[in-house]
Order: sequence, then structure tokens, then C-alpha cells
Amino acid sequence: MNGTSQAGVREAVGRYAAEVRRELGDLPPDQVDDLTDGLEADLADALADGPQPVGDDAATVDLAVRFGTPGAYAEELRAAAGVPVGSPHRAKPWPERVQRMRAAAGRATSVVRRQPWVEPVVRAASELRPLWWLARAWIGYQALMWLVIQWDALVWQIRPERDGVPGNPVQWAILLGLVVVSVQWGRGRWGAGQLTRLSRGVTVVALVLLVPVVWFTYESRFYGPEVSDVRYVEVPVGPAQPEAGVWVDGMQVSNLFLYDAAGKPLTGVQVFDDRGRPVRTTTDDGWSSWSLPGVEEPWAFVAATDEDGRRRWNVYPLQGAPYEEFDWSNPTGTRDTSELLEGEPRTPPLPFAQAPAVVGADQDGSPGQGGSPAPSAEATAAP
Amino acid sequence: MDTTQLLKGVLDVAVLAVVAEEDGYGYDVVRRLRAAGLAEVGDASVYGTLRRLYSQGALTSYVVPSDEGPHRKYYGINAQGRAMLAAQRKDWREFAGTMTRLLDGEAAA
Repeated sequence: MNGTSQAGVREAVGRYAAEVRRELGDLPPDQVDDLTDGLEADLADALADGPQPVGDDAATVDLAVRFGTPGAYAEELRAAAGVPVGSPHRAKPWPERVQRMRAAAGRATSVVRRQPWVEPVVRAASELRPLWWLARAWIGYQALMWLVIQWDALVWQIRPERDGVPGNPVQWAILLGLVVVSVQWGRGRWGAGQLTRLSRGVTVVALVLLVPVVWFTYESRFYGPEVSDVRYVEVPVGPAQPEAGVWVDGMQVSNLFLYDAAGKPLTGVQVFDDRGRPVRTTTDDGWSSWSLPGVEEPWAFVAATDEDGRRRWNVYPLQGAPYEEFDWSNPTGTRDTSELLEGEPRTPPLPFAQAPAVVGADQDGSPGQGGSPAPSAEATAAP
Repeated sequence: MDTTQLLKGVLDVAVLAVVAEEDGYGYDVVRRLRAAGLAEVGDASVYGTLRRLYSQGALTSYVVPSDEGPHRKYYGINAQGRAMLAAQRKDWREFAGTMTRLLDGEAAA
């Protein structure tokens, strides 16, 4: 054996002895010293006495082959020396920092336990445990369905609806089976007692999966039942539902201006649709303001009143006034915005003072030969 | 028969006998026990026994520094150890005689 391999042996012996000392770590240091003093020399001599390692490489020096594991060696030493084996302190002690943290956690827990609200909360939580058993089963079901979606090409027969509710008998059977297993485990049946670790592990996994599963379920509602790797999602540019009011070219209009066949502006014209419903540009009874083209101030409109005293919002052009002229503090608490207006409502600026005449119409505004009778400004007087 | 079980009961007196012959360090004692025929004796068992006998006051101990490696811890017997050895030797002879008679008698029957 040359010098290099001797150093290798010394190093290996030192490592092994250190391992043995660590295994005895639960004993007082002076007792460990007492048990292992001279151990390196004994190990080295024993090695030198025994069959030489194949080759002189230090890496081949494995004392565990010759003497057994350091743990077993320490056990033997301990037993022969009459130091009790399997004493309460036999377990490897935690590092000091961990011990301090555990102690702190224990203190904090006991402080919390002393709070008066803890006991009812704990009792309520334990009474709600069956709910958790159901939730646990559902989480398992959803996780399973998620896997099925991933591999839906293979098992498309039980392709799930993705809103978390089973869509066919197979899925119901799966969910029901999981519920039964979860409940039975919760009640301590079906090997839950023997398989405490497995049961706890399942619970922990279910808790961990809770957030992703709920997220997945929530998320998948937006995609609907379609299952595909490539999804074309139509993103609506504006509001999906048509809103109330009158829209022209995607733009909501505030007012309608009507001209007779001769192109003269009309006032006080009632407009109805094909079903006889009043056509209204405003739907909030005049509480909002409108910006008009070419007008700096926003305007608000008021309703016309018919003979029976009902307010009519389909009488065009709507009458109104600049927003500032209304007393929006509403001292009387009225719902009729016309009462808030100081002066008289007026017609907002017309887009045209005069529209082009319709072919076949007389210049004086009387109906043409082929046209139906047009409403005239005189027929329905503006307020 | 599992001789390691038998060995456990007599390891103390065996170690005392070896050390009484001549002072020795741990592995030296192991080697001499094996040479005497106790091939299955475990290294750590012998070391542990030496430590225990020492702490019981049956052995003395001294450290011999080594030029080439770690120091060696030698054990020697003292008066108390000799007394212990004598008592255990007597016990063993009686026990062994009893066992021999028992087993021989059984074989003859």
C-alpha cells in the first residue's frame, strides 16, 4: 500500500468513525467520546488485517462492506457497552433551529387554543366534515375529468361536460363512487384506520387540488363544452346584447329630426315601430346628458306630454336644454326632469335647416300623389 | 447452534481473560479472541465490552500515540478485574460442567 492509499484509508476511516459518532448523537458527548475513543486506530488495524481492497484506489475503500453500516456498528457498540438501545432519545434529534421553531409553533397553537371562540369554531368545523367529504369526492371527480379531457382522444366516450356537473350516467357513476369512498373514509371505514397515511395523503392532495380544480371549473364555463386543442373564441367588440335606444351605424343617437316631403323640418312628430311600440332614443327618463354634434355643452331632454297627461318620449325632435340649465340638486325630489328646468324646453340645433325635397312632393308641404299622408307641424302642436 | 448467542453471555470473561494475559488495544483484543477460536466475535461488540468493563472499574486504560496514524487506547486488567475474572471463571466451569453432564447424559440415554 503506498502513501496515497494510506491517506485514502485514513480518510475513509475518519468518515466512518464520524458517522458512528453521529449515530450515537443522542448520548452525552463525554459518553460518545468514551465509547469511540481509539475507534479510528481499531478500524484502521482491522482493515489492514482483513482482505485488502481490490486495487489501491482510495475510492474502493468502503468500510460499510467490511463492518456493516455505521448505524449497525453503533448499535453493536452501544449494546456491548450496556448503553440502552431504543431509549426515548434514540430518535435522531432535530437540528436546534427546527426545535426552536417547533417550540414556538407549539406555544402559538396553545395561545390560540385558549381563545374563547376556538372551541365553537372547531366544533362547527367538525360538524361540517360531511360537507368536506362531498367536496373531496367532487374535487377528485373534477381532477379525474380534467385528466380525461387531456386524453379525450383516447376515452372520448366519457368526455365530460366541463361545468363540474356530470352529463351522463357514466360520469354520475364515477362521481357517486367517489362520494361513497370519500364518505366511508371520512367515517373511518374501509381501511381508513389502517391506511391513516393514505387517507391523510388523499386529503392533503384534495386540499392542494382545491384551488386549481375550482379555477379550472370556473374557467371552462367560458369555453363551453367544446373540447378541442384549437379554439376560436369570438371576442365581441361592443356589447353583446343590443341595448335599448336607437342606433345608427353602431352609434347611439340622441334625437331624431324629421322633415316633410318638401324638406321642411317638422316638430312634435310621434314615431312608432312596426309593432306599435314608441320609438325612444332615451330610456332613462331624461336623467343623462347627451353631447350633440357641433354643440359644446351637453344637453338633457324632457318628455312631451299627451292629452291624457302621460309623458311621451317618442315625440321628435326631443325638446330639451343645455344640461347646466337644469337644477340637478332636485329639491322637490321629482322624477320628471322637465320640472327641474328653469325655462322652457327648446328644440336642439337641427342638422339641416332644410332637407332636400322628395321627388313628387309639392313645395308647400302637401302630400304628393303616390305618398301617404305626411304628418304636419300644425297637426300636432309642440308644447 | 447460533454461537453468537452463546458468545454474548461469555464475552465479558473472554475479554477479561485475553486482557489479563497481556495489555491490548481494541482490535488487538479482537484479533486474539479470533485467534483463540472465537471467529464470529464482532469488532464493535468487543470494543463496547472493553468500554463497559473499564467503566465498571475492572480495567485500566491508557493511550499510546502512534507515529503513523491515530492513537491507540490500550486496556489492562487491575485487581478488581482479576477478581471478576476469577469469579466468572469459576462460574463458567460449574456451568460448563453442568451442561456437559446434562448433554452427555442425554446422549447416553
